[in-house]
Amino acid sequence: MYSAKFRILIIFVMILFSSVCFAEDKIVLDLKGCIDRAVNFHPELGEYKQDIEIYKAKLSEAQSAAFPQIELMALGGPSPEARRDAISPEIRTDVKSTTINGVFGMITMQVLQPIYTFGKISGYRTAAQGGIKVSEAELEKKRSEVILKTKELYWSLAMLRDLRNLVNEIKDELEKAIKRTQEDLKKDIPSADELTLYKLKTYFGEVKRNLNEIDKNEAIIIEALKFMTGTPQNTKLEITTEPLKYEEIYMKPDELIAKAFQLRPEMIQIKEGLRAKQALVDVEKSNLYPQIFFLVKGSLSGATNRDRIHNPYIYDPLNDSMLAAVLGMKLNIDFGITKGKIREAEIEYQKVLEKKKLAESGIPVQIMKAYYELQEATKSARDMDEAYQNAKKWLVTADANIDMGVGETKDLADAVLAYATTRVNHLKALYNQKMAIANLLQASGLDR
Amino acid sequence: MKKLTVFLLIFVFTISSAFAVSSPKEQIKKTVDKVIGILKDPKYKGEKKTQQRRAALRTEISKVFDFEEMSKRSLGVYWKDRTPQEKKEFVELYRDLLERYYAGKIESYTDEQIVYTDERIENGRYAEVKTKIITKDKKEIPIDYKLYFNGKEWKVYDVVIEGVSLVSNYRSQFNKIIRTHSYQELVKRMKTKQAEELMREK
Repeated sequence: MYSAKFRILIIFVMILFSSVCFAEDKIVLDLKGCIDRAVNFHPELGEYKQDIEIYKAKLSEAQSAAFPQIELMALGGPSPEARRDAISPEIRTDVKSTTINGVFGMITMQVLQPIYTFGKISGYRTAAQGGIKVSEAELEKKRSEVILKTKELYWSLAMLRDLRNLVNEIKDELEKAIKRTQEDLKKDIPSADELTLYKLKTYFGEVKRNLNEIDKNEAIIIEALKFMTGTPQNTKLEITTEPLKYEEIYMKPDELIAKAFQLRPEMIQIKEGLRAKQALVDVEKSNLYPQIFFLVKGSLSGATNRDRIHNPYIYDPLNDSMLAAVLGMKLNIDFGITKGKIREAEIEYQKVLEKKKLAESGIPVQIMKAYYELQEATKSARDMDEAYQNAKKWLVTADANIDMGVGETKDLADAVLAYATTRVNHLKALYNQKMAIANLLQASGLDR
Repeated sequence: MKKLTVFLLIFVFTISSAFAVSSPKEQIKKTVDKVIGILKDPKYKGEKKTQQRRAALRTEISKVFDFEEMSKRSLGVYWKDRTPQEKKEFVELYRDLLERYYAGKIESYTDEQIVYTDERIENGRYAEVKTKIITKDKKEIPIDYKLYFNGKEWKVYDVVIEGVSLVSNYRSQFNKIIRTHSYQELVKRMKTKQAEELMREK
């Protein structure tokens, strides 16, 4: 039916199309890359970004209050008839003005320019600016949590991979030992026995189970990192990790506390919150004073069935024009409502002051706790580093002695067990140190 | 004038000979390169070639290792009490087992990278060459070689793996066996091990 060339072309197009359809993107990230992506694309941050937009809109509203406010209204409707002869030459009061046989149109306009508001407009503006800063700090707080969570996942992954290397190392040695024991048994070598073989095979099964668990946990962490970094589901995420290493770290707690008072989002929130709340107090206080303004008011109306009368004593709203420019003043007088609102705003300000006191005493405690945890984690990591070096030496010694014929198999088994246990604890200690550093940086506001 | 020419000739010859001697690092690198060459050589690959590969490895290793010096240092104070016959027997046993051990260790690192980190020479007689094996999973295994100059070339008298001196370790282990049992017991254990290795090779 089709020529061979055409069939080949169709197959080629199909292959090309399918490869395009199923092509999956790949993203390769290290720790910095993970954090950069997480702080930009984490799904939870969107809500906090919108809060900033709300306050930006409020600021725009407050800034516009200084400009004139124009009110324009146009009306149209049926008009009752009124003729000049009804009032001239003599005034008749029994004119039936309900005779509707025309239409009228009316435009009214009012331009109000605030002149002096006793701080109302600037108060709203300052409050909105403070609101933006508070929302930005809230976003920073959330970002800081995201950074910590990302670090936790990243270091967990690094630890898991180091654990896999250890398990693979033991697996390789066990495989070799099983093979050698099997060959030794075949060759009737005196030191070989069935008991050792079963023991080795039992350990081998346990090692394989550990590897399966590591694979599962790695897959879960990658999925969690995909969520944190806002990576689409059909995109492959590859995380590059370096082996965990002991880090020599020295930080002065006094300097960290000083930094925290400058950099912690909570402190920025308190500082800006106080400014905004004070501005709102000023706004409420401004209601005690009159609002002074300049007003231009005008109207123009006309009806099809009514005569225009140029008499200052006679006013016809359906057939008239007016323009006036005035200086005005507006004052609302109440007996306690405004004062109550001022008090409420002052209490809100006091609440932020209480938060400030709490933060000023709480942050140093939080930093000192994180600092002591880092001290402990660093010492433990250093001690476990030393223990691990010694476990390696123990293993090398036991191995060398066995190969020279002057060592016991039990010594080697003990050395392998100690090596594996120490390495696991060593990796945990290194992970704890990384997390302790991350916690201290977060507590000090230095994690960005 | 003739005397001066002879002196100059001798001087030039001595200088050129001195420069012809490889440095400890070069000596170690040459041996390690040859060992890696054997491990990568297709004619030595596969399980069936184990014996030939091991033999080739041991030949290369023995060129740079001074097993008599190592045996002497490993036996420590007990060396001087041995008869020439015992010394000869011990050196042979020690050489055989250590060559197997070292060859076995090197054999397991096939695709790893070897980095020469440092070389230290003391008084022109003793030297230390520090190396690192970097495994595929970025694990570093330090192996240091201690050498002495025998007048002609540099010879290895100790290997330090992961900070463990083989000679120091063997000295303490040998001394323990000799103290608690006897020298004969030590030799017996080493011979048993050698016999097992020979059975494995069959």
